[in-house]
Amino acid sequence: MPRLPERGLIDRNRTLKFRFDGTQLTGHLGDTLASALLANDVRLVARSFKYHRPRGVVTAGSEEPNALMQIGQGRAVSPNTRATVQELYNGLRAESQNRYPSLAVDFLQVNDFLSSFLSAGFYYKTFMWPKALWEKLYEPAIRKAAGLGALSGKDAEELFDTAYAHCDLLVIGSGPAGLMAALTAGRAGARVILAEEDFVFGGRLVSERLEVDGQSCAEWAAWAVAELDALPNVALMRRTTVTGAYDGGTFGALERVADHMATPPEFCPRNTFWRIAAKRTVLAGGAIERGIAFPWNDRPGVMTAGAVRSYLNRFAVCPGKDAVVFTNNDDGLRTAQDLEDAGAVVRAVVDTRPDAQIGTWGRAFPGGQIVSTSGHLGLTSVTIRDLNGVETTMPADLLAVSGGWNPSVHLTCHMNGRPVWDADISAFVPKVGAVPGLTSAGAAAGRFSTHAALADGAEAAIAQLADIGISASPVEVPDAEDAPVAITPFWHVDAPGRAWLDLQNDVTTKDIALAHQENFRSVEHMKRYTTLGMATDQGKMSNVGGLAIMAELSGREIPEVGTTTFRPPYSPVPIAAMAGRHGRDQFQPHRHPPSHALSLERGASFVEAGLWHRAAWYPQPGETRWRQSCDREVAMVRNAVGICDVTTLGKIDIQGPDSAELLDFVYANAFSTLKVGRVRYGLMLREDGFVMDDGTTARLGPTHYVMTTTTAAAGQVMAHLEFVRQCLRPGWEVSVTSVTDQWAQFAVAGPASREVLNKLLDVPIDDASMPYMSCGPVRIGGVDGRLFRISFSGEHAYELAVPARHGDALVRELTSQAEARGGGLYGMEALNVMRIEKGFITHAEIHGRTTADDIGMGRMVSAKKDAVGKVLSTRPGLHGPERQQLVGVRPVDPGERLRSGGHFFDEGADVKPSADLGYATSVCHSPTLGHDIGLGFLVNGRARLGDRVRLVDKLRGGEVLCEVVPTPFVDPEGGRLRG
Amino acid sequence: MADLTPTTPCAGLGLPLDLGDVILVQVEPESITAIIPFPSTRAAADAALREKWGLGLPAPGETAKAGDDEIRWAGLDEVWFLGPGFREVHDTLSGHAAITDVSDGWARLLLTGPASADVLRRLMPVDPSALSPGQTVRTQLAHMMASVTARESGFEVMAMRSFAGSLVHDIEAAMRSVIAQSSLE
Amino acid sequence: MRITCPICGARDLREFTYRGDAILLDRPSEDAGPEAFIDYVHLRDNPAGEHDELWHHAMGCSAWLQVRRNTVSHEILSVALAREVR
Repeated sequence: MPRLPERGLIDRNRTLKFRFDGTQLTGHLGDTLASALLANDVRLVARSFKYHRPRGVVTAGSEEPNALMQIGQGRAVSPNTRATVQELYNGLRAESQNRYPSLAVDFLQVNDFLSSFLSAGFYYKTFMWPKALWEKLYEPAIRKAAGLGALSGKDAEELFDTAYAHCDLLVIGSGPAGLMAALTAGRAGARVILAEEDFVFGGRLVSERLEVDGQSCAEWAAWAVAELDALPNVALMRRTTVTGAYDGGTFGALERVADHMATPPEFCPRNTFWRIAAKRTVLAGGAIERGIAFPWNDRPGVMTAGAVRSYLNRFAVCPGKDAVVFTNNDDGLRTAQDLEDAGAVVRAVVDTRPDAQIGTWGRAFPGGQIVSTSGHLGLTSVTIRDLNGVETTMPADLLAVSGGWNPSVHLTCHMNGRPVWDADISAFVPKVGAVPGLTSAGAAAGRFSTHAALADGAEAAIAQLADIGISASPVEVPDAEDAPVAITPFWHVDAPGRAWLDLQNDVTTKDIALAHQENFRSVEHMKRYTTLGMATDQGKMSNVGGLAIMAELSGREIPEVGTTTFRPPYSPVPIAAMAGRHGRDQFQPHRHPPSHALSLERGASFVEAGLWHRAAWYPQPGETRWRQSCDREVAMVRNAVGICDVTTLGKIDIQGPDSAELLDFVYANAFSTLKVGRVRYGLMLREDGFVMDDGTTARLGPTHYVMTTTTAAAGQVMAHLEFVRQCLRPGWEVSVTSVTDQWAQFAVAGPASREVLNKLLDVPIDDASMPYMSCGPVRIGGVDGRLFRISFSGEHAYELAVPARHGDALVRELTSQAEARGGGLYGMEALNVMRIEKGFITHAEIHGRTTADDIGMGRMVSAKKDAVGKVLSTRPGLHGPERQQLVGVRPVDPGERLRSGGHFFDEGADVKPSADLGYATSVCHSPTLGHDIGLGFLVNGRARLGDRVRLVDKLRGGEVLCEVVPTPFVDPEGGRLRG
Repeated sequence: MADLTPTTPCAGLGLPLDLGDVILVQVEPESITAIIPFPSTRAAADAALREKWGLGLPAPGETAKAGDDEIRWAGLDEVWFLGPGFREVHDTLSGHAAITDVSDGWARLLLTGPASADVLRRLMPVDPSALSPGQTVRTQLAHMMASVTARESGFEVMAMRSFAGSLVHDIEAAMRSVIAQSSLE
Repeated sequence: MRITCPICGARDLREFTYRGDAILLDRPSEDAGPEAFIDYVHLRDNPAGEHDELWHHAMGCSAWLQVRRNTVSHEILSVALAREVR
């Protein structure tokens, strides 16, 4: 077994069982899925994206391109999870992806034998025609063959949270630089968040065998974390990846709260997506090791040198018995030492630098290169070409490769910053100041030695805190190795065979050459043409290698070639985590009017109006269709009395010496002339002359009005009034306050409405005390209320308002009084039918493209005063016969049904856009008249009363011949209203 | 005569809810009067308040308390007087400010216990730990317009009455989430 | 993104609503004629760089704000109460 004795950060007393492709295996607490698989000698873990080649674990971090797996089962299956970051837990079930029928026998490996035809751009070139086959045949077949894992296709039942965090200093990464930054800031009393992607703090310190401050680097890291943990001003966030840098010091971060357990505890989220507001930030995200492109470098057993050290030192797993090291820098040589110390046989060390000082591990090949490998399902041998061109083949099951380290510059690029090439380390480093308030430290800034990283973290914290006025004392930098970076760039071996750059997307050096040859030479074009650097790893390992080859082919330097754009997220984030709890029926908050409990008791169906949930109709026993309920409710109101909750309409209290001026300015018609105790309909325009909203406004006192808006526009009107008050007329002494929720308000409508009210009011009303369009204070059961005699139904009607705490009781009293008179509750459907019967408009008509003149209210725009929208409402083209004007329509054959959304055409005209005369906005069946009626906009409609037009419904099919009629349809003289 | 027995905004929503480290209770309705002084009458309104109740207009984000009475900043020009009845406030300040009864417009909750700040971190973009007792903010809480005031024991949270169901639902979900996570390794 | 409201302090973007060019503060007088209103309502510069904008602290104190913002870097250079800048 590859598990090593007595080392590492695993808990050997805690054995965990897990399954991989159905096989039961065991690992330990502290393992990742990848380390546990390697400990069980499982080397073949995946098939590649395009060629279906056998693949193994390459890295020990989130940059892993190969070991993508499906974790879990059933609804909660999580595809494309990198085994290198998946913590092992008892009962974990992992399945490999992209293979059929199994990993060892994958029929689609035929793609590999066809590889010479499957180069970059193959699909674009080959499946060009016939065009019809693309959607039906080619694309589904290609998607099936080339792919990642699959979602369950079912609703996830797991919970996700969103949350907000705030700090003085955000430290991203907890390696030597991050720990020193956090210690420095934490000791200074600053509010610190230390975010670590891994489940163990320490970064490379837990994977190396170096000394810090006279102890092992892992011990030093544990000591530092213990001190930080004891500081109340420091928040340690492990399992948390900072995924994006945004404006103003805001960062997105994914906390994997419960990905390390089979089932989270009840109520516990699987992940939390944090939005962190940081005054200053230290990016100490370390660096990512890159490979070298050499022929057949993709076999299981080829790993990065740093990953080999992680498995040896942190996970106590030796990933091979016969090892070869291939490097272009001194750091790779450390791996040979660690391998030998762990008991592996180091067969050879191949260093591309001719002058390399190679130690005594196996055979030394200074100036050597790996020119080939073999082994179908895993590495069995490597072929080395020495400085003199002599080739040697030797057995090997592990090849540790180091092509140098790339600082993790990604977050510094999220706000459009481009990294800068540093020739000393042959890598891109962050552009200073690319993200305001963020500075990079340690390996992330290209300072690779342990001592340099420790010192850099401390300095960065002091400088960042000084910026925000927090003085931090220098912290003593512990002793640690301070080796210079010794690297000679070496990107690819020139030898026959395919050499992979991007393992995840199966992109080889030849694909880059082909892109270059076909003139996709801009780095962004090359990326799209070859797919280099796409998908879950976003080219973390491959990007720079691809650029280097592009540079070579085009005779440019790497910085001239430039980089592709790194965008958030740094590593994949479930969409569900960004939504948090706000999905499905909790997508937005619900608002309930005071009658809600009663409506529920009465079995009402509900309709959403903005955030409000309003009763649509109240079914009675025996009613099975909504129309039956709706027709009954309409007849009930027209013949007896109905009760409807109208609390949802926006109610805005307006007070102050200039309240009349404000109303005159925001309404097209005048309100300064309204008498106290009276109500007036008002039309509100936008500044461009189109209608914004309508409603009634009551004058309660000389300097006190209450405005009513439509339910839909309440927020918009409130913001508009604040805009006028604060921005256009800041000198006016006037206030606006939303009282929508303060007052429960109910329509009492129908011939028996006054009878119902007089049963409840402490002082009865009559026509003289409460005429049409009047308002006044009333008392009901000792409670102060307001009564408005207004009507949206066309009947003798009132709206009665009481403070909302009394709303539930009042609607029950009103309903029982109404029911005693053959009336009762009515909902939105009946309300809508009655308003169409009366020709009243809603936002179906004032939808943002209609003018006052279009709806027949042109003369309401007062010429006597300034008002928002007044000037532009007079523009040519906004009124007159060329406009589509509001009209009524009814089917010539009363048995026919109208449909809203249909368009009007003249009889005999072709149904084509140029002959389009308008459209129907609101239609319904009028139980009062016994046939369908509709409202709509028709070109020059007011002059066409009595004409016949076709209402054509191209969407659902069919057409109806209609007659253009005046509105209202019911009681045009308004006798019922005033009677 | 009509019987208009009042109901509270959070009636039937399962309060109080006691999860140990965090507790959610409804604050029983009392009188809330919105006061919006006009530009030229601000000083007079302040003086009238001080004379009658010994409390002035608070600065943004502040509250002023005397006994059970509290004046709480509530927005750009607006403060809320919690305690005295609407009529009394109206008659004292008439002419100096717009006076509006908003007692029934808001659902009021008290969130207490050592985990209360952790709960609010899951709901609002303002840092609850940065608020000292008596400080108040207007902000967005789980997509709702809200007022949050720090207390010695936790936070008072207000949202418009019609949102009461969602308000309690969302706070309860955050409370249960925080408590569930406190036992994780 | 964060905006420092002069009343409430630094707050998250989600509390605010963008309401367009701050030219909206300069409404022409009633007798300025349709041309002036067409400019006011419809004609906008589209600068790459510093720009005065109107934001509404709708989920906060409800103040309308004039925000000077660099449209290239998104840096916010100043924030003032709209009613105090004219």
